[in-house]
Amino acid sequence: MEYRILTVEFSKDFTSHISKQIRDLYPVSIDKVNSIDDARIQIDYFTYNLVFQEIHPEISGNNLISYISKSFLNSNTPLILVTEQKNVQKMKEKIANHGIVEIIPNNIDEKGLSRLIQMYFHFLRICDARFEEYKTRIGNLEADLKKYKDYFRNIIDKSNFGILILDQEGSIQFINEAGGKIFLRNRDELTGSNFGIFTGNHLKSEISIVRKNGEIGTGEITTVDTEWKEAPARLVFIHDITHHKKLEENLAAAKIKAQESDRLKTAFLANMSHEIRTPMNAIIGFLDLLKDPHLSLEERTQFFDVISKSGDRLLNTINDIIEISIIESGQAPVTLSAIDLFEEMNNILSMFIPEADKKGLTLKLSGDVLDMKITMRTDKNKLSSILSNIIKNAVKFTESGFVECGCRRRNGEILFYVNDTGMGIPSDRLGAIFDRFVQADLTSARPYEGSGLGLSIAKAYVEMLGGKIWAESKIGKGSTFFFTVGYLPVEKKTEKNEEINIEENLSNSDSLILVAEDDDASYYLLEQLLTAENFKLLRAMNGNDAVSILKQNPEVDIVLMDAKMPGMDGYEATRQIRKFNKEIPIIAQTAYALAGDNLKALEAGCNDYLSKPIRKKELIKRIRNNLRK
Amino acid sequence: MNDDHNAILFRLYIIKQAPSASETILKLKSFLDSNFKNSYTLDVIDILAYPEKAIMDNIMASPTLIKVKPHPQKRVVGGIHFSRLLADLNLSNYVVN
Repeated sequence: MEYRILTVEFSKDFTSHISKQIRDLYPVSIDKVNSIDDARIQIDYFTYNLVFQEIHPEISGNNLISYISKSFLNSNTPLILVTEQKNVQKMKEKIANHGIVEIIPNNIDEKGLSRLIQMYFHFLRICDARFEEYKTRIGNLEADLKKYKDYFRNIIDKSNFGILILDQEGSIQFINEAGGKIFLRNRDELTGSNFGIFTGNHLKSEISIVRKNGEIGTGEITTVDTEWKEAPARLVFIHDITHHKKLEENLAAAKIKAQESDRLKTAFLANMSHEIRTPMNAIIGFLDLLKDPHLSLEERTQFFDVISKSGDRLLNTINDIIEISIIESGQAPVTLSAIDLFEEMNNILSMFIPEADKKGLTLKLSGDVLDMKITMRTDKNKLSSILSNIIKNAVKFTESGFVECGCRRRNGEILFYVNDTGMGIPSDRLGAIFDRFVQADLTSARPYEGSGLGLSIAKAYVEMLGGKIWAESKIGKGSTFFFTVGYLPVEKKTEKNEEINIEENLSNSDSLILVAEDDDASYYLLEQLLTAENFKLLRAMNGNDAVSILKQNPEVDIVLMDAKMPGMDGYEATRQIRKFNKEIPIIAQTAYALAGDNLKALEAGCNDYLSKPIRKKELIKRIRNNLRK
Repeated sequence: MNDDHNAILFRLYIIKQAPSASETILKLKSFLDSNFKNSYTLDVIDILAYPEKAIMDNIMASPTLIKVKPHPQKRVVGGIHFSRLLADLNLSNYVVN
């Protein structure tokens, strides 16, 4: 490092004198000015390690202090005053307490001057070294301090707890990041705003959090007395437990629901057991009675009637169970086709004429369908199932009066309604009647048969068709069920309704039918039904059999194909037949009534399908329809 | 102490459907009745019904009780501890005997 020396008001001689003494010892530069004013300017620009100043000969011990105080120096720069006076000792005593000032006579010998300068520079070097050392230490301390500050800042900021410091008025003095998030507010906006004083004790308590968007949450609060900027303050921890609360509530609701569903399942099992056993009991009991050879014809007819009705009831129950399990397994795809609403509703309503007649009920059709032709695309089977389930209920629970069914066109949807003058539904049960396994009142409904699944099937289908279902009711006055279905208009090139009405007394009754059926009882039933209509039959015991019989008997008019047979099943046999005969009508008989089975049959190449149990009317209708094509 | 009914004005922000809300309101009314007789007014504001009022008044938690008058405004938040309420709200001098 280079030392800088300033000489002020010196004769040239003294400056070169100094220069000569130290030039070889230290790297040094010497500046020379001739007035105190110049010295001031110089010192503003540069830092000098040592300043020499020659003082006026008249200045002695008495006026020296005022001279120095007028000097340009600050006390940090060592100043050496040079005087002509010989006795400097007295002057030295005067200035002992005035900074780093030394006085030397101007005739100081070379050695003395050299030693003086060396001593100063030595001290300077020690001071510089110390200074550097302290600077490093302070730097380290500052770094440590910042590190710890960052640690704690981080802990406070990353905490899930909202941390607030409130002054005695309840104003927010500090709030961490989480705190801002809890209230959905900016931290700057919160700082200084009045949160409020906690009058409570320091234990945990719960408050409602009011977020900036008006949302309400729940917070668990802990408060502790503290100090903030040397004044008493309150440290507040807020734990946002909104989510936990919701979970707790959901859990409690789920528990209640689970208990309810458990209760319902038990009720369902009891109900199903009742619904299966009651008709079974009648069927088995009356079949037993029929064995008696002495029965009158009248008794026999009566017994058969009971057995037939019980069978129907059993089938209804089984159909409901299968339908609900299909819905439950998500295997009930929506298949759209064009329908005429009047025709559809009229058909469904007329299915209930016999039952309504028995009770003396009037069945009415009303609404827009009477005034205009409404055609739409929807899932015909599902719509029919919805309507018939609701109408079935209405007829079942109405003892006198009427059941009215109708619809109204609204924006983009059709509103259907079924209105009755029945017993009505208690208002607290109105929401539950669409739940699975529930009848409006389990005890009072017991006199009415039924699986209790009808309305839940209807609800599931309504939802599949993009609608809503609900009911309004007055006890003793009657109920109205409403549901909506999205309205899809029929495209211009209308789909042909392939349904062809059967005319009675058709002439093709002597047609030859190949019946592929492995089960003897089922074949026997078909044989009885079909020979009574003058059809001729061939029987195949399995798929292979069916294929070879058809090959040998090309005169066969139609095939009834059982889906499930040992060896080659009905689907595979149909595929084989289609390889050599594409024309012959094949009707599949499926036992499962699952939606997928029917599709499988059509995919294999069948023209139509029948679900077991097979009804005579349906069987003959399908055979004739297919023979005609 | 003062005949003016509006001499002491309180505003209580609360969520009325919260389980303890009605109890809080009842207790507060009876406390205020016994300390200020007829010389106070208490407005109870349901935060769920008037969220915009709560936001305007910068309410961050419920319940929050604001002493609107006499000045200066003061507010307490959370469960109210009646033994400290008068002191916290600077109202000890307003008690009617």
